[in-house]
Amino acid sequence: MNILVLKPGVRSIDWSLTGDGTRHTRAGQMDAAHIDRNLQALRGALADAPPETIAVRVNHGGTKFRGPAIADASSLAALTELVPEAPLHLPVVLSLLESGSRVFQNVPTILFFETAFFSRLPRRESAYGIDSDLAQSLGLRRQGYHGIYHEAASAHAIRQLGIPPRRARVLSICLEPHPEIAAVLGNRPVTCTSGATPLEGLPGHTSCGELDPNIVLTLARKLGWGPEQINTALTQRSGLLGLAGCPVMLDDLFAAEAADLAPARAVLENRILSACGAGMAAMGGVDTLVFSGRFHTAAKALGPWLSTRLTFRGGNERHPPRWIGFEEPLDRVIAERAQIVLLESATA
Amino acid sequence: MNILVLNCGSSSLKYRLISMPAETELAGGEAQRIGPPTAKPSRIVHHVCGQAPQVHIAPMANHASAFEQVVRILQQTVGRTPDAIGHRIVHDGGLFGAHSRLDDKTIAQLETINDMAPIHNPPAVNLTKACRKLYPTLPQVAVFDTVFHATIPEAARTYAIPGWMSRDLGIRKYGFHGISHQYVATEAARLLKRRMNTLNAVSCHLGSGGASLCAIVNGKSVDNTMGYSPLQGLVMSTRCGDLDPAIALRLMALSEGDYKSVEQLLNERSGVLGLSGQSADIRDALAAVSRGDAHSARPELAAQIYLWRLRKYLGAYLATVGNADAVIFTDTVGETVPAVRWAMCANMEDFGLAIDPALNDHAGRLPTDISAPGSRVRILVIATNEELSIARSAYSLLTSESKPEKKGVAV
Repeated sequence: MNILVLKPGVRSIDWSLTGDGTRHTRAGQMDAAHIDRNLQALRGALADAPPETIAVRVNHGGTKFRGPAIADASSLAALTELVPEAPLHLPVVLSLLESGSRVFQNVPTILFFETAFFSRLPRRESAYGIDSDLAQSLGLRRQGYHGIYHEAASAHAIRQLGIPPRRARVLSICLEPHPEIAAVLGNRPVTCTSGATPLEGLPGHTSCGELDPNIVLTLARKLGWGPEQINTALTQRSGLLGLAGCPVMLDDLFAAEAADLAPARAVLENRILSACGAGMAAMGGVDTLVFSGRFHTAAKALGPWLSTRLTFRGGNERHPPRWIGFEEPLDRVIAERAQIVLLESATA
Repeated sequence: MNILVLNCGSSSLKYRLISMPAETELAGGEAQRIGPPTAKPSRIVHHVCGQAPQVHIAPMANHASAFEQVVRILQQTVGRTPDAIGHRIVHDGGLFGAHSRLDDKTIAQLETINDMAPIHNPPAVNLTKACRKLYPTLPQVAVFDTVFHATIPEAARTYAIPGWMSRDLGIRKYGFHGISHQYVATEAARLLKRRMNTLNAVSCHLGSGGASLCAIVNGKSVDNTMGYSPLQGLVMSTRCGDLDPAIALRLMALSEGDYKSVEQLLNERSGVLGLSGQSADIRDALAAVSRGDAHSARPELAAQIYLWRLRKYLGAYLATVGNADAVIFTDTVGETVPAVRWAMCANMEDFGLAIDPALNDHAGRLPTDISAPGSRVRILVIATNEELSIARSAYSLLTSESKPEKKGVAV
């Protein structure tokens, strides 16, 4: 079956076509500004292998979407209501779905949400230490932003373990430009490093990760900066870029020859180790670590190191945590899940 | 040498006169309601060791006049004046890196960093000036909460922000509660019959107000849950602890750039108080949960979030430390609330840590070990003594100064 996977961002939309038994047959990117025209061009380009299903990756589904959803009138209405929670991303998604239904008429479209896996995050993990009424009125809760990877990678890791899935304790380490670690206890996430936005948690390529909240206020006080200026500095000029002073990608950071990147690497390793220790405490231990994401190859350096650091004398030393890589690209994960969803909806 | 230890609150002054190196406490007390006159008079609750406390009523418009009263009462009751003063000062701003002798120059340096600890530092710094004016020749020492954390490695103290921000604005992790963490770690080393410079531990200073965990390797702090300020880290009585920076930005935008109101919200009306909506004391929330009150939904959530954050940080720091010798609990909540210790230490066998439920419930006289037989990591409950810790640091600095051949302590 030909499945067209669409991953809308703020300014552009990535697409790929996955066919039977093959890896990506074709892939590309289109501008988000002229969606209708660009989709028509795409339909023309794919005339020899017309998509039979469309799968759309959506960054934010709040608490409304707890799993994949078929794009129809009710899911679109629900998505429209969520626009205030993700005002940059969701309008692009909605335009894409609208154009898509015209250009690819009668092709079933399935929505996959990065946040769905985290909609069942326990409240003790998702809530912040602030006034609960205020948090509720502003919708401030912790969630993850790489749920599709975490769900697939942890399920893969659990299958490899050969223990009852309900008891499996997995640390899922997603190595993307915004890296994210989740502790997954029997298919359910119990911790996540990201926060109400992807700004919290581990430092990313350009995002700062965890900060003393007072630092934000100090920047306002000492520099006279407003929220937008601070936001730009923390989301676009921080992280590995801020630490190293030049653009750095995760796989370069963990490459053996990157001696000049040692200080930035040490910062990230320190945060990763802390997050893993926290996740291990949340689950009462860890059976396996699984690395996913486009920089999963960094697992070669991180896997053995973390496995050693998470082994404790007089504790789990007889069963130290294993580590594995989950090498599937996101499009492939989404395409495979789309087939399952279609199958399930056909038999339901 | 009799060292007078002074610990300034915003409207209080705690003091202790300690004879060193014997570590004998001679007298102590607290001046209360310092400042403009209120309905209740300002007073000093003073005790001489071995005797019942006495209350002295006296007007005290500021910390300097409180200090004068304290010296007068000490002369009357103990018949001694101090040989030196040890001031507790929260923040060294990264300027000193060691406990330091106070003179006009160092006091002037301290005044330049008042904005880094706007609640804690200014009254203490003002007091050092007053003391110097009244007793110009009396040796005075600043003992800082941040100094124990000066050993936190760069990887742990650096925030992933543009380099110029860190350099120009002094934004990095400083860490706090160092006086207490150092004291209980020293006590733990003594109890475990280890040298301090070989002790690996996680120290949990859980106060009724502020709280922090400290990761200790070879007797030195390598991480602290508090950061640039005491706002980061654990959920505290009224402080939020860790928060998505984007939330701080959103709150700032909502208050139209009024960062002071956001600062106040996050420092004074968040944490256990903001979550429970009733009380800033975690013990009230835990009691409501155990009574099963009909209206305990919010206190229960407060307790869950408070405990969960603690447990996660314990795991984080056990991983940071490697093979810890001990987990140490101290200060009001750490010493007296078994439910908190249990929530953190139960089901942690994979870390080599096992808590004994009966010993935990009946900790009794401190210090005590509440770990189960077979637990490789000891779980110690130790009463903190920040005043003695300050006296030790001050004494060590002053005596090393008078012996120039011994260069162990930086000035």
